[in-house]
Amino acid sequence: MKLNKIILKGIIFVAIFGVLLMGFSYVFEPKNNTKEAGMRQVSAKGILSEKENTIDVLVIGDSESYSSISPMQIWNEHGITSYVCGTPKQSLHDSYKFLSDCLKTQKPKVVIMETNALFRKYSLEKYFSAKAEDIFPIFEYHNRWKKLKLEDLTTQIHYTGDETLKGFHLSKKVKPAQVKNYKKKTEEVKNISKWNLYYLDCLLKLCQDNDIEFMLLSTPSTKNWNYAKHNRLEQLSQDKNIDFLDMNLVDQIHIDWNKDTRDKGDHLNYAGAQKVTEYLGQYLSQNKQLKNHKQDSYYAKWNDDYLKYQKMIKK
Amino acid sequence: MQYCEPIYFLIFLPLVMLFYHFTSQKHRWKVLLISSYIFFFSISHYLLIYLLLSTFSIHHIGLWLSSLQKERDLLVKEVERKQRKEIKKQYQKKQRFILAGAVVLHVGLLAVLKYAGFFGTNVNVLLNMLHIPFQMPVYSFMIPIGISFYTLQAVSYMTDVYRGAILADQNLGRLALFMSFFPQIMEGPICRYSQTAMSLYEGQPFNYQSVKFGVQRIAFGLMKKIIIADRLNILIKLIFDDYMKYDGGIIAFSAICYTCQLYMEFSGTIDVVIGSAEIFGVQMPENFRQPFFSKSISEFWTRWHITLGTWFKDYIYYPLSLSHPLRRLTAFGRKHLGNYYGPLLAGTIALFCVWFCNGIWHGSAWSYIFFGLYHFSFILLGNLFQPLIHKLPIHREHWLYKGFQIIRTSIIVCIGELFFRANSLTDGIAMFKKIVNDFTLDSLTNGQIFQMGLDKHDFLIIAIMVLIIFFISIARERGVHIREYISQKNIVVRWTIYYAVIFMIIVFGAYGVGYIPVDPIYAGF
Amino acid sequence: MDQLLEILEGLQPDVDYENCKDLIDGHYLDSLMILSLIAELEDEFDIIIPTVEIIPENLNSMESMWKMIVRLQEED
Repeated sequence: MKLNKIILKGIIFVAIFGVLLMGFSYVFEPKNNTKEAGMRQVSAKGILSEKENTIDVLVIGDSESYSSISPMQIWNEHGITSYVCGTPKQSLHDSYKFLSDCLKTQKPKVVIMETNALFRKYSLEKYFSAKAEDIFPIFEYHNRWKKLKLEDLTTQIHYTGDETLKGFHLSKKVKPAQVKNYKKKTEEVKNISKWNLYYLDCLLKLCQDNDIEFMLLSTPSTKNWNYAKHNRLEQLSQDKNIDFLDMNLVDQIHIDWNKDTRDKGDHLNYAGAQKVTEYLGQYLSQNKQLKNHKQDSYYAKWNDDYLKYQKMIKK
Repeated sequence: MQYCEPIYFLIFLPLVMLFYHFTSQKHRWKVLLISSYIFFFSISHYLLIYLLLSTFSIHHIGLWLSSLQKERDLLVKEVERKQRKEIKKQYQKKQRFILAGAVVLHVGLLAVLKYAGFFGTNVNVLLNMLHIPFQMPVYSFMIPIGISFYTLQAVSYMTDVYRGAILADQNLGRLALFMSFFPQIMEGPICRYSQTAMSLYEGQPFNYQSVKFGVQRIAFGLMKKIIIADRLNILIKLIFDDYMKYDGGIIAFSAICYTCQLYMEFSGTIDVVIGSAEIFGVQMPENFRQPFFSKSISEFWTRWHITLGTWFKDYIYYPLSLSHPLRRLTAFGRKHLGNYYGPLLAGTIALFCVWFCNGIWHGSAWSYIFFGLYHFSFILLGNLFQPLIHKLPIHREHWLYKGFQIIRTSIIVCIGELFFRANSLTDGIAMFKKIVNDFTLDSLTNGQIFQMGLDKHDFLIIAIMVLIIFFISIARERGVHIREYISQKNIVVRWTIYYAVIFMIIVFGAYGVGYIPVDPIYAGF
Repeated sequence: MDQLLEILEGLQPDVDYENCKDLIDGHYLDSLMILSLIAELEDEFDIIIPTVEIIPENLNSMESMWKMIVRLQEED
């Protein structure tokens, strides 16, 4: 067959393939951000159904972020609205995606990045598969074939999920941690991969373009934090001129490693999160120009949510 | 990088195709060689040096043998007939010495890299048992990818030159490409110089049909691996890692599942490999021929991992069984035991060596040696009883009898694979005991089987896919060439099939969150 | 050639040796039969068959076997 004919056939084949991918993606994409609708990471994705322009502080990062920060507590103590879009082993690509998705309906003033995700490995393969999933959700949600319903074909996407915890992961388990060498000082500097630096720059640019203040936060963890990481983050915060709050070195927080961790120092539990959130709330209130919305009727639901939250933390 | 990952079939392979196409014919083999070394380096990094050393050495050895042969041929012409035999004998002795040395070096290197640890540990166990207060240091080495495969190709090249079956290759580049060609390096098929070396070097222009068929074969292989093999992995890992928790019925079921997974993963990867070669106009030998239609274990090994079987046959079985001592044994046997059982003596000794090697080639563990000897035993049994069975009044062509043979063979294979996959020989034996002592179908009736990582939907997909492959296998057994068949249909039918296969992989593939893809089972060898 | 046919039929009677061209590749003769065959051919035709000759090209059909036998007889 002539080369031109082959190329033409090839182009048409790929074009039809693209259309089919879009069609399948449309059907397979969850139509709501609830578990029943097949959404993944429901807790973090809850931000998509928050009332427009209510979230002032967005937290991104991995499991450290959602184990240590409780937006409802910040609301109660300072009337500041926040949401934790943390997911397990979050890649910076996903962090960026959460911020850019959130900007469709929200105008946060501060973005806090939990720093543990910065040290996560990334690769060319992960980049390509992340891009593929962004463009064609079928790759992320193909497993829904087991649970597809007629609605997936007929309804539009409409987010109505209701996450009372606002992305926080509540756990009262206690598994004490070993503290040996946790705060051992060193001159070493832990490396951050070029991929993550690239994504960080993208995040910073996005924040700049939207008048958002970006800051780095290291929550306490004996397993995931060390001085070498701290040194690198200090460097980074100076290079990029961004605030860096390292809670591992803030004595005021008083983490009790016998009681405040749910898995031997990897993550904090509710007791630890209370202390971290209290300090964070104060920090935000004193250092960032954020309003107290408690008397604002536009934010009335937050007060209702807080009542539900109180019941949840009693269990 | 592995063959069934997008980085290979969506990025690496198309890039190589692009460079290949835009390079002039004379230099195309260089594109393949460089790509092969890049591929190798991306997996084993500086261990590439082992492959390079092997390649250089067989090149040199081949030329050495070849020059000796030329010398001999010249001498023979000049001399009287009576002296010819003597000269030939002399030169054969010289060549044999060189070949033996080269083979010992190559196989020895493989043995040291792969088995030093196993050897050391077992020697220490033996020393403990004999109460000798001495412990050998146990070394473990980093192993370059494909060493078990390219070493066999190296030995076959040198032996073929020695036998005069091929001419030694003057061209180091061509030989290097034969040894390193990226589709074959991780899981085979094990190619002979006469099969692939020339066509690899010639730099074929892109033939639309070859490229099309190659791509189709790759898609078919991906389908087998990504939909079936990867899907079964959760269940199999769960049971094999923790078998004490499960009843004999579940363990038996897991043996069947593992055999299915192994076949889908291995033959699927080979499909990707052979399809890749086909794109470049190179025809590789087949490695599978509908193995589960075998009526005996002997037949099974002519249908499963075919190139390994033929390698062992040509380079171990025949050389051994036709060696002087074993020929004398055969003559002795024929005199005293008749024409059937006579050769069986030498044959069995050679067979035992083959199967011991086959077992240990798969890995440095007792479970692999057991696996080899397990199959040896069944082949031997088959050989011993064949004349007796032929005397029985059974209608051997009747479909019922054939069906019985096929099922019996498949069960024997599945049990063998149970030992192959088990985390150790002791685990394998324990699991087998459980099947015998604790067999029950309860897990089917109480639904437990659907709570081990795979639900009813998963099993349905597996069943449908296995059925599809079953029908395709029947067609292939009858000589139908599926891709030819499809290419004769009109464009709507063809493109529907293409899109169906692609979207089956995308939708039903066992990838992403919640799935653990199988490590290429044969790539550790 | 008749002696050859006799030997072959003694080993494996179910095959049409006049016409079959893939005795090895078609798995009509297995490796044990080959051992017997080599021994009998060496006895019957007073030749020595070196291992390098035990290849499908020489053994796939009765004609190719005969060619090999004749050649080996002449070489000695």
